[in-house]
Amino acid sequence: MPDPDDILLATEDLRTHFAVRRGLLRRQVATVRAVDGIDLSIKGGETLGLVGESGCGKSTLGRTITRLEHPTGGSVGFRVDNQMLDITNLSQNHLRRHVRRHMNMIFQDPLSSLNARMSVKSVIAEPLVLHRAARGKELEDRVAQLLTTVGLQPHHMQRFPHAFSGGQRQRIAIARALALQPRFIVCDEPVSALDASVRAQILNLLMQLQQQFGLTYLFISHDLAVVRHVSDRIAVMYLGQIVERGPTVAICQTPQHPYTEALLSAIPMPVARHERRSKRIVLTGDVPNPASPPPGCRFAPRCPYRQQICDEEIPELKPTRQGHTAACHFADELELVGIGKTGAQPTTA
Amino acid sequence: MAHPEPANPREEAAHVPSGKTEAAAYSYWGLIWWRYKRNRIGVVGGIALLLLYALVLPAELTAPYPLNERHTGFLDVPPQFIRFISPDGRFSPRPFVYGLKQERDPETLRRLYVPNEEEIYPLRLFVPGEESWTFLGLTWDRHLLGVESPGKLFLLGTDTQGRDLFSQLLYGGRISLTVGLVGVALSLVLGGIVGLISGYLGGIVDDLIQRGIEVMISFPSIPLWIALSAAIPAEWNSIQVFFGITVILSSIGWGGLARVVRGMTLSLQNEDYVKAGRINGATTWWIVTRHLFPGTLSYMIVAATLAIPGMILGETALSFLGLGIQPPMVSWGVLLKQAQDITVLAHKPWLIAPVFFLTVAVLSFNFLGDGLRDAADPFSGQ
Amino acid sequence: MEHSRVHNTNNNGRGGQPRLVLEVEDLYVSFGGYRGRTRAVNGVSFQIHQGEILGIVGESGCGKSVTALSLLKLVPMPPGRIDGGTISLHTDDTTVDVTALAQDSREIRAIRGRQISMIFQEPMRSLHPMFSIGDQIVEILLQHFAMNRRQALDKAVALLERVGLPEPARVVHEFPHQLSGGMRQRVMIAIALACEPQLLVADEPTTALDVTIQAQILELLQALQAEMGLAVMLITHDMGVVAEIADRVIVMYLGEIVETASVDQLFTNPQHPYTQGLLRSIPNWTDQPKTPLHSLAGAVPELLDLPAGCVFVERCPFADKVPGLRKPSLIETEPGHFVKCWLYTEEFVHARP
Repeated sequence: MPDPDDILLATEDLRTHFAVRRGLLRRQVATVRAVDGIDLSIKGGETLGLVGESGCGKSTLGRTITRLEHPTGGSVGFRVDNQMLDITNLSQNHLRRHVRRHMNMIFQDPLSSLNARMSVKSVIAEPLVLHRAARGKELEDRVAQLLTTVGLQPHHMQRFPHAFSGGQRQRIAIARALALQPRFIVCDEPVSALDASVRAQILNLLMQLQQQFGLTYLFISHDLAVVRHVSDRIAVMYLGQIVERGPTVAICQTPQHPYTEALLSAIPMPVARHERRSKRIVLTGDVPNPASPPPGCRFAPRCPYRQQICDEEIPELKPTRQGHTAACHFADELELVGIGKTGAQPTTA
Repeated sequence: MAHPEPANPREEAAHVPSGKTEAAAYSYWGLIWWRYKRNRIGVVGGIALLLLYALVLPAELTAPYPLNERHTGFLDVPPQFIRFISPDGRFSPRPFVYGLKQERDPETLRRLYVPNEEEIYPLRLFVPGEESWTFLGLTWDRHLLGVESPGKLFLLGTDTQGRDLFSQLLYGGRISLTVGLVGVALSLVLGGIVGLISGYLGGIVDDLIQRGIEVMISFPSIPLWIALSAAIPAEWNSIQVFFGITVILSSIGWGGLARVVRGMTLSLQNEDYVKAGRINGATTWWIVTRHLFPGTLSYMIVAATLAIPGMILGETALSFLGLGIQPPMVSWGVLLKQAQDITVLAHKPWLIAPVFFLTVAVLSFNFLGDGLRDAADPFSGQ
Repeated sequence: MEHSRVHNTNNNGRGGQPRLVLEVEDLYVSFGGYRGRTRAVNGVSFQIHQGEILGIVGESGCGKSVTALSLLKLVPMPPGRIDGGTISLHTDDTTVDVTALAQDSREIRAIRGRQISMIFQEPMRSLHPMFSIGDQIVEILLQHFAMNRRQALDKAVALLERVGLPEPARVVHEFPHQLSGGMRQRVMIAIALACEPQLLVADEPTTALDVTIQAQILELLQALQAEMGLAVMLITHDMGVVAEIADRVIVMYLGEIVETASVDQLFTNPQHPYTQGLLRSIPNWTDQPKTPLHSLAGAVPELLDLPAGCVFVERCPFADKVPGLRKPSLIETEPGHFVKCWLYTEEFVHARP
């Protein structure tokens, strides 16, 4: 078991930009700042929930941390054998040998993340074979054991992914992610492609595995209700940057950034009308193009509390009164409304 | 990891399709086969091709007469009918042919062959030929179908030199149909490798390869083939010429295949299982051989099947023009050379028979290819 | 914004009710496939009245989209087939049975867009990429109304303004790819409303959108519905969306209606074990994070091997107490609240928790 105070992963000013190229000569016409200066740290054994809308860069951040993308700048530190290792610029070869087995990833759509041409056994065995962790009978036993761990049966290893339902496929993907006993798993929208009645099963499985094996999760999702349920801390992303971060319940009950408030307010609640919040904040407009973000606060053009300074100065991500961190000029002055404080019916500011 | 308990006994009963639905039990290739079998026209194409190859590959056995055997005195004989009713009107369980009688057309004075109802030659299986033959190390003197001497069996008639057209067709088919297979196999290897490299590496390599292929594909193929085959040295023996022609044919075909494979490689690279492979420490070689190559294989097979007719037609065209397979080897194109003249066709229409075989072969390949294409992606609209 | 539209809800069936727009009775739809016929919709009946938002919720394979497509005869046939039932569309003076119309007859085309119109999950697929937004609206207006191009274009601008697009006079000349997902869905709504239909069928209209954009679109649908007295059939998998804007809710599972009730009845007193399980499995804003969620066992079975009796029998926690092999029928347990479950019959009332 890792010491819970140990930082397992930390990023500093992490940036991943993509060049937009056009035309016959592939000239670079713009830069998409998908991830633009992210500082975050994840402690061993905790779940950090990363929430944001499509195009905010949350998946790119997940892929950059696992070095599927090469960062443009900043650094990623990852603890390997009790030593913080800067993995930002390690070669793929080096990563394979020293880092890969300690971090893994679960993807959104298990139909795409499992190779349909491979049996369940070869899917789950892939990491074990690649790291020469087991072979022959031992390999088969490990696969059987992993299948049991995720709630499937050993004889399922003979089958092919298409013979399973969506939830079961996701269980297979989870078994593969666990194969090398990693400490850290990036879960990139792991339940978004699943039916509502199966979603809870997979969330429960992920939480139970975390306890059982002391796993650390970066849990990426657009669904704040799901993120709230599985996370110890939440970071909210908007246009490539973190706008607010803090302990889960605090973020949901007393958000300190107007975007978090709007996000919470927009979530449709499956409750009867009389239990409903009385006011909903509906943001106007769309998320700006990440190739040309607004000059000041990135949320300013849609912010209902916008002042002149918001268009001019970029707010810093700094600690607030409530004990979380927010990037808003008025974080401490605004009385923002969250969900869950007194039933589902908070009062309006 | 300690010995884990099942995650949750209740969920563990999670419904696994019990195999009640057939598809659940199959592997990926099993699923393709299962879908292919359901495509009637594709299956017809496949069976037709199996029969065709079974007929032409052991031509020494299946042809009634050896290659290029001339039957003196039997020039330009029309096809003989196989009969079941004897002259006295009785049904004969064993089919037979009549002997041939030479006559002259009283007006044009052309030689004519008419059935001689007094000579009856029953068809026999495994009749001994005049010489023994060797095929794949097997030496025998029998032919699958024939009649006893001095009778003759000309199912599709004979040509001007007195050669049995049916036998020639089978020998010619062996060349024509293998040219397609070998040619496509060559393009497949070349196209597959170039396509994988181009798609996986991307960037400048990809750009260069793609531009190169575009230039190559935009050459008009027939003149290019003609130019290349004109360059085949005259002193090459027939086997060398055969391979020379195959290489020429595949020199064009591989470009198209390479593009198919490249496209597939590009789209497969975006699949999450490739990313998962990299997360799990896969090397480039592993990803290419374990994920990308098997992923593109089914599409390569389809593309190849659909490319074979082009090769067969290409060979036929070259040989028809006299630039392909050279006598004494025969191919369907070589046989068709005899049917170049309209007057020949008017008097000896049976010489056009290779066209029929060619059409059957080409159509069958197209049917098979279409059937396989629909089956190749077993997860599209089950 | 507010939820005060109670005046036009919940008075189905009893005195002074709004006009009946559409009545589906005992609809059966199946699809032929490699592996045999799948019964996608199995004896579905419901009504939609003017000025009402009817939510149809269910998971993949529950038949909600096929039901919606059947209303406009948009189910591809073959492989699809309507095996039985009627779909009666009541206009001011006549009643038409949609199932009886030929697939591409003039009659059905006169209904599409004019009487019933539809919006889909992915607006990019429903918009033609090569025509401007204006052209696409104008085309529909000219098809159904006697007006000239100039008038039609003016009306198009007015429609775009009504669905809340900024700068409608500019947007009308733009092409679909120039708009964001939320704007495209607004354009789709404008097109759907162009001919002032009686019924708008919205098939997962917000599923592809972000929550903040979803909130905008839901609000727009609600406002337009109230303003135009439209009937809306909203198809979704999201219980939250239904709770937010529907008046009445139908819960479907494997091609059958398992429960139907007013939105308040359903969310305060869900009765079918499936509805109960589904609602309880959604993360709640008052639970302690990182505690186990209630979960339904198993997964939605394939439509090909449907259970013989109750569709939910394989996953139902009460299945051992009730005869699973017999099919229950819809029972009215309180006014307007119907549930298809043995637990609510006299015979098995003792088995209820």
